[in-house]
Amino acid sequence: MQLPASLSGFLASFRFRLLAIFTVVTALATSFFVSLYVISEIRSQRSQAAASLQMLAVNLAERIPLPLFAENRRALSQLAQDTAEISGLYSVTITTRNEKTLVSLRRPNSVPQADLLTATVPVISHPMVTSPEEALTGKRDSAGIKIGQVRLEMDTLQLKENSRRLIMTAALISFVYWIVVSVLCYLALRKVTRSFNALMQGLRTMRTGNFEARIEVENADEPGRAACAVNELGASLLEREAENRRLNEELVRAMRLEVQEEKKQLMAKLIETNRMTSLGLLASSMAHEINNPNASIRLAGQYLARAWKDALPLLVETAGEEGDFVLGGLPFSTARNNIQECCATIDRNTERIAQVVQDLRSYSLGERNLLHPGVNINQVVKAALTIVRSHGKRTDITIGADMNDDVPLITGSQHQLEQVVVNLLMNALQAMPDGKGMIAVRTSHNRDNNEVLVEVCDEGEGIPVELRERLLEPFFSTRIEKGGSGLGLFVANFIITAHNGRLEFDSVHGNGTTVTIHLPTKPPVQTP
Amino acid sequence: MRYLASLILACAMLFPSLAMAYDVLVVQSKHDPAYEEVLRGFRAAFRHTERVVVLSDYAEVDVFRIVREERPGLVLALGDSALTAAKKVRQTPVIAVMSLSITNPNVAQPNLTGIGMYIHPENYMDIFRKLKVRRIGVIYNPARSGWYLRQARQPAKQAGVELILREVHNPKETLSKLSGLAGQVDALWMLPDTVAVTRETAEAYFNFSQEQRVPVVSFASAYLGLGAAAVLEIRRIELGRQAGAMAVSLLKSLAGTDEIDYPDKVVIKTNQSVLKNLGFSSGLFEISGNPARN
Repeated sequence: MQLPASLSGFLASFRFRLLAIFTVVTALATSFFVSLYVISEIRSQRSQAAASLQMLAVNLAERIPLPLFAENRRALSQLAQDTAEISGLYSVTITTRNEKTLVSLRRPNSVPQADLLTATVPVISHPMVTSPEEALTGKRDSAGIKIGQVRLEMDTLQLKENSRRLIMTAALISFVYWIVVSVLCYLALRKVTRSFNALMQGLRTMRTGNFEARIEVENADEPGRAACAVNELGASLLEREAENRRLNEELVRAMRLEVQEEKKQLMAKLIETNRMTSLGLLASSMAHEINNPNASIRLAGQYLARAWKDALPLLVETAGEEGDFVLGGLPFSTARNNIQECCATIDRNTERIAQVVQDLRSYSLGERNLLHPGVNINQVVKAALTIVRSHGKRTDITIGADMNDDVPLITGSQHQLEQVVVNLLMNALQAMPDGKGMIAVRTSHNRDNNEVLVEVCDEGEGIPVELRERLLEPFFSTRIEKGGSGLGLFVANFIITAHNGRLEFDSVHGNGTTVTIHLPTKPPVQTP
Repeated sequence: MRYLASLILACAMLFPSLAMAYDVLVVQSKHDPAYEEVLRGFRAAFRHTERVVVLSDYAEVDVFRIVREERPGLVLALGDSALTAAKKVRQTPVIAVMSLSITNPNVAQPNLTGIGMYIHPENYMDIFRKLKVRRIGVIYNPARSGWYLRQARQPAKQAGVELILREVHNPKETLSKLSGLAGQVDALWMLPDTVAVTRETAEAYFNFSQEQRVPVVSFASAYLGLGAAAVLEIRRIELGRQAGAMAVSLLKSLAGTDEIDYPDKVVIKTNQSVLKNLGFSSGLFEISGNPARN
């Protein structure tokens, strides 16, 4: 298994590809040029053979004019025999001007006509020789006259044998040349590609993660420069890896701390949520327990009111008759009004208790608060102020209300909006440093945007910049440890958003905060 | 009236004859500088009026009709073709020059005379004497050169030269006859015999000369370049002068003659290289170019 793997690796190597390309190109070029040489040589041999044959024929033709003219067959045969003894000459034929064959020498073996080279030369009388008439008149015909012709045929079998031998020799020489060149090429490539192999070996080592390994740079050629670059890259990766390792450890440490912190906060929130759930259950049960006595108180109050109403004429008559008398520590003239107001207060507050209990139940049971038209925002603010003021007496904090009577009625949930204003006022109260300061609540109408505005301004610590983006997140509070749930602004924003309104915060750290509720005068679309 | 008609008829017959009258009708075989050179010599020796007819300019020329109608005093034939054409004329004297066939016995006729292309044998004998060669090989056709060799016997005898004669009846025999002369002759004598010497066989004389190392004595300088050692060449302008003198003599005597003369003026030309290669002294023919004996 090892041998095929190494073999396949060698076959895929740069060295082998270069070697393959070079050897193939060398083989093709060698074959091409050797073929050209062989073709040229064969043509040359054939041409030389034809020229030799032609020369033999011309030579014979120049030697035989006289015996040919005299038709001396014996002399012609001797001359033809002398010529035919030349190797490869197949036949010699001498004919007269009248096509009369005087000599025809031919070898006994039969040779196909296609394998014969033929040369036919006319036998011309000596062009310098003149007849007596021409000699006497001084004229000379330099062309000479044809007195016959010589035809020589040469067997090309020997020529073919020479060509075959030439091809074999050329092929053998070119093969040896190719082998030698390929071996030399391999040796040269082996030296040239040594840098590549060192580079590849180094890269393989680095690929395993060993960036400490360094590639040996043998030359300053391209692979050598690449090896230098890879070495620098390895050093850089090594440094980066150490830096990453350090950062990773720091991150893990930080994440560990953060997880612990978040876990702590989450547990606190879970505890708070559990407590709120318990409070909800407690509120639900308390509602039941409060509603019954409250109903009794209300019925008693109503009964007292009706009884006072019935008893008042008698008491007035008695006071008229007997003079003003003391009732409950107060003169009747004063007490008559106080009692009446007390009855009204009992009725109103029991109704309120009933409503609060109802809302508490609804909130704890998750019931939805339906929106109603005709909600007066000033009434909402007044109700919220009543709740806040009754929440606890803070003698050093003044809550001022500036109600605009032109504020139009809106569509919404009276109690949800009260809850929003209460939450904002409670946040303002909690933001006061040392429990001192001024809180202002203003209502107004923005006709340009058809909005009703409620502003709650305090002179508190203000909201730090880094916390402003997290104000509306659930369970986010700077007073978790002091009992804050982190749900006040989240719920407020949820309610206002349900009314198609929005909350705006304007705060300068250390100079107080102004929270503005924007509510549209047009009724929001209620979802079923 | 009868006299007037006779006068008109006589004038009609006389005037054209007067208009066409000239002394010599020159019949020339073809346009050739050699013929022109001969004609210049003829004109220089004989002041005359002439009409020149070049046969090669016409498809067919009836010389007999021209002579009959134009009545020249003499016909000068230049070349063999001209001689053949002029032979039809029987009443008017004909002088033939530059013709090889004029010396044929079957060509002779009473009104035909001229100058042959054969040079007097004694001129050749002088050369042989100077070359100091004794056995002279001659290839000849009896019909064409037999008469000449018969005339050459006496001068040869006087010069101490033995003529080794070989007859040929067609040109193909020349080669074998030449082969038969190998080792038997000291020199070859090439005659202007159109059977013994042809374009195809002339080379054989010079091959023989090289192989046997014997000189060839020929009749035209054209053969010097091929290997002839010496030639006797006719001076064409002198040939024309000789013909002109012959014409003057003929017209004065008004008598026909059938004798064929030898050329008067000939020159000896040699190829010194050939002579040197064959072992002859280069000073043998220092008088080369001087007129030879008639």
